[in-house]
Amino acid sequence: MTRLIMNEVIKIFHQKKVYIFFAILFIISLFNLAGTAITNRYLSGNNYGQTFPLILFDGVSNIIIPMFVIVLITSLFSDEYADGSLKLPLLRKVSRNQLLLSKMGAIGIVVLIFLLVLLILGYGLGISFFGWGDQFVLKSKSFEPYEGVMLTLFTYGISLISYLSFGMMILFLAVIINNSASVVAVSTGILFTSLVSDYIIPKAAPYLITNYFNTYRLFALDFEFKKLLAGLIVILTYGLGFYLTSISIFNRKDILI
Amino acid sequence: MSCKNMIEVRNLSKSFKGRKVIDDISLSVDEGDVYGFLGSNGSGKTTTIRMLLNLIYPNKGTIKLNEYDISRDFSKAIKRVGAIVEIPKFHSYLSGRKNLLLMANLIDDIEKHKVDEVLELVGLADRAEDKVKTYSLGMRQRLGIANALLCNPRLVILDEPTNGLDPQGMKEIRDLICRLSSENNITFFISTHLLHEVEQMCNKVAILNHGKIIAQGKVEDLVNIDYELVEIYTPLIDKAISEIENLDFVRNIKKSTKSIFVQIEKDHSIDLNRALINNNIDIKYLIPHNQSLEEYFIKLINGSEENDQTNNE
Ligand SMILES: Nc1ncnc2c1ncn2[C@@H]1O[C@H](COP(=O)(O)OP(=O)(O)OP(=O)(O)O)[C@@H](O)[C@H]1O
Ligand SMILES: [Mg+2]
Repeated sequence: MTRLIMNEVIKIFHQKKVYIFFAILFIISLFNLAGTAITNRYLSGNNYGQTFPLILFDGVSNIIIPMFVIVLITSLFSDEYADGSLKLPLLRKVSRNQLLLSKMGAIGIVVLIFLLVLLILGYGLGISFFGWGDQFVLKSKSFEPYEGVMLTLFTYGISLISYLSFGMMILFLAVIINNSASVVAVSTGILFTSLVSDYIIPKAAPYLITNYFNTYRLFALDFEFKKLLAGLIVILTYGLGFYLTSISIFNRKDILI
Repeated sequence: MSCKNMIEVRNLSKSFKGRKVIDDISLSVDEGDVYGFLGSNGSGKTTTIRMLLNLIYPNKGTIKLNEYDISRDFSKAIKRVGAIVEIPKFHSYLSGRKNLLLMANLIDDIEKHKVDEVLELVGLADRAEDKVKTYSLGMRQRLGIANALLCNPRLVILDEPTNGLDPQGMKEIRDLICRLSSENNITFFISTHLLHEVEQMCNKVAILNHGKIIAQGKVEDLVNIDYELVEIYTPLIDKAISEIENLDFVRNIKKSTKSIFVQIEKDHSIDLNRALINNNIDIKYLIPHNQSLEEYFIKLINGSEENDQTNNE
């Protein structure tokens, strides 16, 4: 199983599109850096290095990273199904369940790497341009520095689980729609619809997975344990529900290509 | 050596959207066989191979590989089996060697040099570092065979392995299969639509037509080798026919517009030629026809189609 996951990770890092996403990440970081510098100077903002990772995360959490997840899943699943290479491991001693699980595991690892790079970029660029700062102030709320670090790690950590659950939903689409362009189109549609309905129908928000990509606002401003628990339940329901449905469909599916 | 059953298929059927594509086929492949699975386009060869490999599921019937039922013990059944389904597919953005290395990762206790060994064996070593998307169809076939050999297989299942190869490439692949069969005692199950391929490589054959097996057995039993077919080109067709029709080694004569087809007992072509010359019949050409299995095949298919028609009436 570990070797299977490693295979999938190796495949991901042999594809150009992954590096395009890392490049986009870097460019966006520079823009955010410039934006934050301008805010600090002319709008009397007081953003320091310790808050920069979360500012940066705000810029990529809703669209760039989910799109990265969509691209990863279509390339590991839909593209491989279409070009026939998906069956290669199945002709060895790999069950369909193991195959799906290892693909999702590999995507988890790659998204984790992506988030780590983001975190390092955030602290690195933030500290070298704005200094560490004496307080963690974000969205007009201030925390002790160590609380700020915890919040940052917490937000990044929860997001990894949310992205994986979102990924399970995309996996489900990939299993029922064979064509990878359609999977990208439908997933992007769902992503934007649900991002928009986050704002339009606030009542629906707690049940949408997109609501949990960036949990800083959700939990930092008024932390309630009940809210966190409810959030985790929603995230895990998405993940498990879509995974189990996908695997049961995939197990019965005739692989014709 | 006891004869182990490498493939055992019983009463297999498969329908696509209500249309029966495989209709109650049974076959068994013994250890050491090179088993030809012969059928024309659309007869159901690939569908059967997909079922053998658990890629699609039969509506009815059982399949055993290596004496394990694949619906229950697939991972045991597939352990020492190498396979190609249709045109071998690999990750096109990786090199041939990298693709094989990934596959090798999935095989327990594989020897270190196995990847290089199989690349060498199929003659792909010098292009192994190139990306698969730059490979020709023939090179993909070779890479597919290399992949099939990676797990030290006891059984190799190949779907039209010479498809898309030039005559030289076809011969190389056939020679490779014959060598692996005799030197490494690998059992082969090979689908093909080429009759001469079966005659050259296989000891047993099943002939598939419209999803049904219409004949199966040892190639030498199926091929009637005690007669041969000769085509005679002569300006004097009618005279020639009247001279040879009473010869005792002539079995059958068929007249066509420009020539005569004569079926004679084996090793009598010299006598036929002499009889014609002695009767002052000028011969332009005397052409031997390699028919055997081909003729048998056509006869069988025509026969089964007539049966189909009578059944429908
Ligand atoms: N996914 C599918 N849906 C419907 N029918 C299918 C499907 N796949 C195959 N068939 C039908 O099943 C029959 C057998 O197809 P199969 O690919 O097994 O033939 P084959 O013997 O491998 O032919 P070829 O020599 O062309 O490779 C054909 O009539 C084909 O149309
Ligand atoms: Mg086929």
